[in-house]
Amino acid sequence: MAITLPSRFGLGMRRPHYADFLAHDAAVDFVEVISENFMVDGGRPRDILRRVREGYPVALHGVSMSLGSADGLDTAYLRRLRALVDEIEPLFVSDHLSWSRIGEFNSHDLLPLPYDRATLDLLCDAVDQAQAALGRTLLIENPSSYLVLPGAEMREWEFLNALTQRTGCGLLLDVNNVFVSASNHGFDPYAYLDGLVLEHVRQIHLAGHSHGRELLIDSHDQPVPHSVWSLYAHVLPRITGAATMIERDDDIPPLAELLDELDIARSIAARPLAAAA
Amino acid sequence: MTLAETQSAFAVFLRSGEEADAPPFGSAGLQIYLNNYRSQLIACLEASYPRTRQWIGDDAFLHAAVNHIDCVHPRSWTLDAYGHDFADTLDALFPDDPEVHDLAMLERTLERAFVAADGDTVTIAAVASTDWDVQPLHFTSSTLLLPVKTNVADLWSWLTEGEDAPPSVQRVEAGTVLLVWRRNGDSRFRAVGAAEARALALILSTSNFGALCERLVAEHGFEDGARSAGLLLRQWVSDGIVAA
Repeated sequence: MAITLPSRFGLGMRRPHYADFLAHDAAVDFVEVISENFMVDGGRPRDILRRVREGYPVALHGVSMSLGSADGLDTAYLRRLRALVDEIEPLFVSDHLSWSRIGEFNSHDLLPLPYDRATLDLLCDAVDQAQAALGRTLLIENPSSYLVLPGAEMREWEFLNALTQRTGCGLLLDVNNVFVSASNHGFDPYAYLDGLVLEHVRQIHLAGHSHGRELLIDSHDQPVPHSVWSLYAHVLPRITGAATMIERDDDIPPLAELLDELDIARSIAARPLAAAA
Repeated sequence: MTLAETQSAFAVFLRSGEEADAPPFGSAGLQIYLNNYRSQLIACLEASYPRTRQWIGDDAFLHAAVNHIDCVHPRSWTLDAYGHDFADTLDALFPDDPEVHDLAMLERTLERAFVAADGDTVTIAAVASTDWDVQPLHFTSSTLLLPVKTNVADLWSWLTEGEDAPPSVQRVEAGTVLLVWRRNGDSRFRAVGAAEARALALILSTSNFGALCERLVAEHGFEDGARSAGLLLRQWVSDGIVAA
């Protein structure tokens, strides 16, 4: 009986759990950290990351590359990230299909892009530049979004398919983001996953969301809900060798609770193909 | 609308928060992005200035944070940089309470020291074997001087440890500074007298211990000047601020 097992299961490393990861006694295959939190000159943050790295592979997940900025990438940012990459030798380096900065303004949010051909050209150039600057493949994460910009010429998954094909970048598939955006914009999340070329998926995020007045909010402050687990179970049999992790950024529970959630992911991954499909 | 025009319109709306500036993208979604933007900046300031918040109270701090967000827009790739000018905003809002500015600057300076570049330090044992007339004297990257107007060190002690009534705010002599640095991963500070402050400033600007010796000898005579220079060097090595 054929089964598909993702190669690794991990957690996002957040401050309340630093001691557990420093002791190297958390039962995970890798940890993911927010790159920018460790892109400092020195001191304890960098030291903590070095010591955690001695026990686990580390994925660097960025929130500030702003790949979709109309005025291009911040080369000083890329140099600083490259220095961290060279030191940590991460499992993955990722950032988002979004923009944050224009001119002298940085919103520090993952803002939506219009999925048109001109934006695709700009994104391809930015990903090429980033991959050259970092000396490695970049994983691009599908964002949650709360509005659709006018002028779209393709669906988000079509945009990502073209981006991966033209640049060779990988994908970080955030299943919760698919669900949130599908709910907010009225498309079928299963159609999204069925339309995405999954061979480029190297990493998977699982997270929870909350309900706003009109829209779902990608809040990362809840356990992974049933709706997201269902999507994960649907897509996982068609993905080979991706690393799955739970992403929790607020109302962070004890580590044991997150490990229990991770066990759910392991159990889904261990299902026989026929049962999971 | 080009991508640049779209993004500029989005940025104008986030900065102002005014309905009149809202681009025609869908109001419910825009409000979520606006709320994310402002709440994240408030959270950043709260995380960066917990003692200042404790001193002035939650309501006053929130008022100051909102004022800062209205006037100062984030520019850097790192959110940590957003609060760098917050002390200036507090100074404008609390012109009769200079300790508020001092507290914010102390928090900011401690944070700068916390993430400054790493480096080895000179040990007491190595001091005697070094010819400081020839060897430049460098401080570690985390070594910073903070001019203050008030007894902020006393306020800090109360905020971090005190259970009794808070100390009264007092102005201190002009030229009073706090020496801030990092040791064993933790930022720390101590109050520095005027003479040591001048000596620290001279070394920070020249890295020349010989020049310090010459100045102290000129001021106090050979014996006292040389002894003062030696005591200062011993103190700095003991502090762990002299770079190897």
